[in-house]
Amino acid sequence: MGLPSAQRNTFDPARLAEIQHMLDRFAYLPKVLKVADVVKVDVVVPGCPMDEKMFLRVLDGALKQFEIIPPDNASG
Amino acid sequence: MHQVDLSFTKEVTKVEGSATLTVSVKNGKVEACHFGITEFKRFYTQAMRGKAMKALPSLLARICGTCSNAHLLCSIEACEHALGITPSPQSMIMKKLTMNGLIIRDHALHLYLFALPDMYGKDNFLSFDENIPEQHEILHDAFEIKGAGNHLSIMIAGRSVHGVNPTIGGFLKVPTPEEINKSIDELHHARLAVRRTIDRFLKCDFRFDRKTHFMALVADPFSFLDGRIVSDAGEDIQERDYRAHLERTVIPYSHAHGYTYKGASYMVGALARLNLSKNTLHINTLRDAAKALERFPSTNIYDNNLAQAIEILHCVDQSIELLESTTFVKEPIVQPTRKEGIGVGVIEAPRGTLYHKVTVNPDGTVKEGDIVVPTGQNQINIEQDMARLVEELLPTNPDQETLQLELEKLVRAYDPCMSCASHFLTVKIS
Repeated sequence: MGLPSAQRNTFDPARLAEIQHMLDRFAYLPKVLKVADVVKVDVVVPGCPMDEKMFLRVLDGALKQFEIIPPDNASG
Repeated sequence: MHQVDLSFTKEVTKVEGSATLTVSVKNGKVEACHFGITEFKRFYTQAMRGKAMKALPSLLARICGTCSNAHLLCSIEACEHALGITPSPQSMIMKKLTMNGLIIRDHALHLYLFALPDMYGKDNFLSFDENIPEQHEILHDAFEIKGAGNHLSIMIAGRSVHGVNPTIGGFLKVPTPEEINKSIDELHHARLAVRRTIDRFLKCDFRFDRKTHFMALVADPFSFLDGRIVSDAGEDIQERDYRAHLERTVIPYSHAHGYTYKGASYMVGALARLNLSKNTLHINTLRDAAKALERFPSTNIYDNNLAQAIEILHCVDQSIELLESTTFVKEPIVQPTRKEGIGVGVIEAPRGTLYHKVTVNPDGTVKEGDIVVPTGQNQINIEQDMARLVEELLPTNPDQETLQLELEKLVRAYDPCMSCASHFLTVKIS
């Protein structure tokens, strides 16, 4: 679970009581979830900050997979 | 009675966070106009309590992926003030260079990727055509300026986002002569592109005039780090007294707080800074941006864009001078002179005045803290302007696309952290 996004998961009851009105007003979930708990995740680029070379590698792979740019072994 | 709903998400180029704008109009009058910051809160105010103070700056830098180095330096300053630490002159130069790198790349990001497409009638920056000479130059200038700012930040702070070199009491690493020479060359080259940027925004004829108060950290010479908090109403506030002067307003539909000053909304950011202290800019900036500077003080909110372009030039000019005139040597980290205390940090972040307050326990942990961010201070102004703009546009019977575009252009001029996320509009005309 990434921090600080999920830092309220670590709060003690007193701290949770302080923020409860905000959780109620905007219908926050009881706990912050990982993205992978909600949707299927195909590729992960860790952060923050992320490694830009890794991001470009992953993006390049996705562009090729969805045929937005030609794969490496394609001619032209 | 008819009701038009407008809700869309397209061509999103998000930078930071999300926002909603809800406008309700009845009989030609705006009944409601809400600009809600809907980014989910991460509750830093509660989370920082009990943390080791030494870890606080890098934790609070994570508040923002765009201006993280401003939060980093602001938190460091608050901790240094709390523990009686006076940074060395070299550390202050490196802090200035860290801020300059941030301002250069952050303003360039806003101006080129968000504001400029509006001026050229384009959806986004990638729509510029590299085969058309003028647009090719725009693309080139954007990346050259951002590159120079990024590399300056990396050289001084270790990273352009979430810097690792600045710490409480000094810097962990200093740049090498080779790195400095390379950065000076980049800044000199980028300077030409910055001057073209100023010319582009000087030609922009967008107007939205409004009376408001302006507030900024003011110093001579112009600084994003030093000075006193000054308003156009003649107020002059010491850093430690900031809280007594800002009144927090809880906005029910927003996850953030809005702020007023003496019961009135106010504006922070580049426009406020130039309105209050344009004459203290770097001498080379004053010379080469003289024509553009005649526009200030200005009440046209769109001149925030021109002000940002001018600030980029100031940061380039000041950085070249500092890099050429400083011999950087490794220094010991300055140690605290007391174990506990209360400290306030005030920084002019790209979007305006940023406040961090920290109370440190004798065991080196954080007792409590407080943070006031620029977008929260501009939020009430943005709402008021949206409402007025809708009223001004309705008699012209604008189509939904025009209304939406005009509202978004104005929101973007404020450069809120979530400028692209303001694509979520709901307009009800009954």
